[in-house]
Amino acid sequence: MTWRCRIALGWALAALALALALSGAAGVGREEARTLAAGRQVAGHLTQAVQAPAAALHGLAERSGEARRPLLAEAVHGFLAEGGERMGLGPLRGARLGAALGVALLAGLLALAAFDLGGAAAALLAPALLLLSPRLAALGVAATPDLPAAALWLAALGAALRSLDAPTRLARTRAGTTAGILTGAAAAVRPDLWVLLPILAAHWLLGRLHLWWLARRAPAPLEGDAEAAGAGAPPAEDWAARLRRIPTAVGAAATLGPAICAAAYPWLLADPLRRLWPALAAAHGLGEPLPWPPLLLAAAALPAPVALLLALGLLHSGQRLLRALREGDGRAVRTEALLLLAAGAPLALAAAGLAPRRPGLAPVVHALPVLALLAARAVAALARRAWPERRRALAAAVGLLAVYPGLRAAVRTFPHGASAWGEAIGGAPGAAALGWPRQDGGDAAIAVLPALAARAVPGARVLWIGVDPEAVARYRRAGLLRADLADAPDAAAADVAVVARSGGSRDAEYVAWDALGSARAEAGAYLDEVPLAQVFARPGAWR
Amino acid sequence: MPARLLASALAHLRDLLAQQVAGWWRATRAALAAAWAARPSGPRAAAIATLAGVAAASIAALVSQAGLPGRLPGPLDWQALAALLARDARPGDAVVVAPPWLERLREVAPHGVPVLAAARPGDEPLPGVTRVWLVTAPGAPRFDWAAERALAKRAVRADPQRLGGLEVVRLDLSAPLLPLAALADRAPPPAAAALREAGGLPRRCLVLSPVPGAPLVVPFPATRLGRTLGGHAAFLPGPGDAPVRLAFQVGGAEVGAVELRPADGWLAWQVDTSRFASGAHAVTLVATTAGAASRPVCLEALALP
Repeated sequence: MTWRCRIALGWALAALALALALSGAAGVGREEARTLAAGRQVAGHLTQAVQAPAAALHGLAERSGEARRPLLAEAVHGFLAEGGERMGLGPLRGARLGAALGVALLAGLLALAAFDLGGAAAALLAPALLLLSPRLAALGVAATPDLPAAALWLAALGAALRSLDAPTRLARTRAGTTAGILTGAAAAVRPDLWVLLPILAAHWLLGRLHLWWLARRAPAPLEGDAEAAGAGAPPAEDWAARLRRIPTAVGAAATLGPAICAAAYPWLLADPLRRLWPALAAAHGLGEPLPWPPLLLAAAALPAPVALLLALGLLHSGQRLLRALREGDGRAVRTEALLLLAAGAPLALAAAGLAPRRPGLAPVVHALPVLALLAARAVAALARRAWPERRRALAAAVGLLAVYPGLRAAVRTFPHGASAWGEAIGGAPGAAALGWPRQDGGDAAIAVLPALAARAVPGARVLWIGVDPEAVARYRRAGLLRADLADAPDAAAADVAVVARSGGSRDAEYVAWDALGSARAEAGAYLDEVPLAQVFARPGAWR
Repeated sequence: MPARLLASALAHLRDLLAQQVAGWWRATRAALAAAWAARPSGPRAAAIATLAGVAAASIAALVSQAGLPGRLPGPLDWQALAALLARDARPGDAVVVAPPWLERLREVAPHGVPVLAAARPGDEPLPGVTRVWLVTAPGAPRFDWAAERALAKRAVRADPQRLGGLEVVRLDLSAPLLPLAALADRAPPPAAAALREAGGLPRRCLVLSPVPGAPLVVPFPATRLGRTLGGHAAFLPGPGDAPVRLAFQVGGAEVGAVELRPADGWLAWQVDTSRFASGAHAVTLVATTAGAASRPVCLEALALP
């Protein structure tokens, strides 16, 4: 086995083991609860498809119409959750088997791509930069479409790059077809990732522009060229033929991609012409409020050294592109242009308000592996330039120093990594002072369950505010919630209220205080003193 | 003779010193020139500087992370605050917390003492409150003293007490707002008083749901009035964007009205009732809406002296 494979396999296994180990303690957020609830239904429909295909298709179309998204991620998570539970992993850890496999796949792919781009040092550093920070570690254990979609985005990108540079035509065709299939799969997991198709097309058009420019700069053939060619000199470049060529990746992404995405999106498939625009609008969050700028939030949510390195990687890639253009290095131009487009387009879409309205890093998560790749390569290149004789030691030292704050924060904030913020804004207290969201959707409520089990009176009815019912059901099945505690339908019927703070309206919480007759918190979950969840109880309902 | 000898020795010493200094200077210049000649190339220097910058940012992030818990209140500080408030708080007190997100305070504030976690507590009229306990965490990131400055303008300030990461100061309001009556507490069914979010804070208010074409009439018999009837009003979440008119009648005659629109937010209003400043009167609230649908209204109405 080569070092390239060893490093990739090592990262994949480490990510899988860590994700499985940690997934039993992290709370279930809103998006994860929705994915798991939909996944169960989708898996049920697919299971009955053999006996009653029409009913199954109808059910799937209904599910995808309600969710306004393709159902590939839900189907995978649904089946793996069922499998995980049957394997004895438990209702929480088992439900997250798909997430663990997704993060392992992403870590392995990232290490492979980084090795190809920047050598062993980059392969060791890139997954660490991406995954060893609180937010991404939290995403890594959540059964959401985000990290699998990011892995597919990276894989499609790698295949597209191979389709440009592979030595044989067969290899190029194969890689291009793979890129098209992976583009479709990425869009079937997260529909806003369809933008990989225009990215590939834009890359091709820019390439044509570059070729046209090179063709104009190339010297005109001379009279004696034909004789010279006959005498063994290299044949003159056929610029016209090169300009006419369409890469297989673009063609495959334009044909196979939509077909795969539509196959996973039965609601869209039923009436594609009329439903395409609503589907696109739902994918990009059009018409939904944009309370905070997602790009700013994403930058502030990462540990400061990691954010700095990601920006550095982008700059380094830009510099390499300019140098390659100056030196006429067509291969480097193609590679850098595609990497920059794949990293920059999601950020540009988020800045323009065209990313899905999702909390945390989710709107730009597919750009992060590419940015981590560029950052790791930049560190390796800078170390080589700064101290050629000790380049490995220097890259390792800088890499460890850059990764350590994120790793430390991930350990310190666990299981509230989804609520962590970078040092540049003062961590969670700084973000709370700015009024930014405190969590992705009620996942911090898991931390108040031990207090609820110990102190709530027997048979107490619990009102859950900001916590998804599917999450509560999972906690109950996992034994984290006392069996005698029932769910209250509204505040008037409740004895205890568990409030997960997200940063939005608190009207439901105040109604609960009023109904319970108490605004005194009996227990809470805090991150650096910022309340993430609090428990309120009717007098006499809390021991 | 000795003087001449001394002068000669001094001159010799001066020459020696000058030679020594000149030697040092030459050596330093040579060393600097050698270092300059052996300087890293531009790209290498840029790489070194960039890596040094990344390392510095990482160390700064670690220092920031490690220092944060020490800047925030710890469990002992909260226990000390609980003991202080349990001992010294009395009816008519309120606890104001700054920064407003520091709501662990809700775990330690005594029952019956309201907690106000407002972004701008200085703008709050604080009806019924005579003393404010201002609890601050001066070490918290992005903390500022605006809350204390704003409240101190309206109050006599006692000496602050430091409880670890917390600072507590008691402020005796110079002109507390003591309502004669709160209409929300006297509302007959179906109108109901409730704690709802309005203006970003929990407010005890009268929740009114006017229906288009049918005025909602809420009587408040035998209500003690002062010089003004005032308070705030805001729409609660819900569908509809029609404006609502809230008219106040005393003894059957309209004394004032408020027109509330969705864009108004937490709207302050005041009606002159100085003509009825003695004794109890029958006050009637008439809520009407002309639009197709209107959201429920949260009305805070206080009879003020």
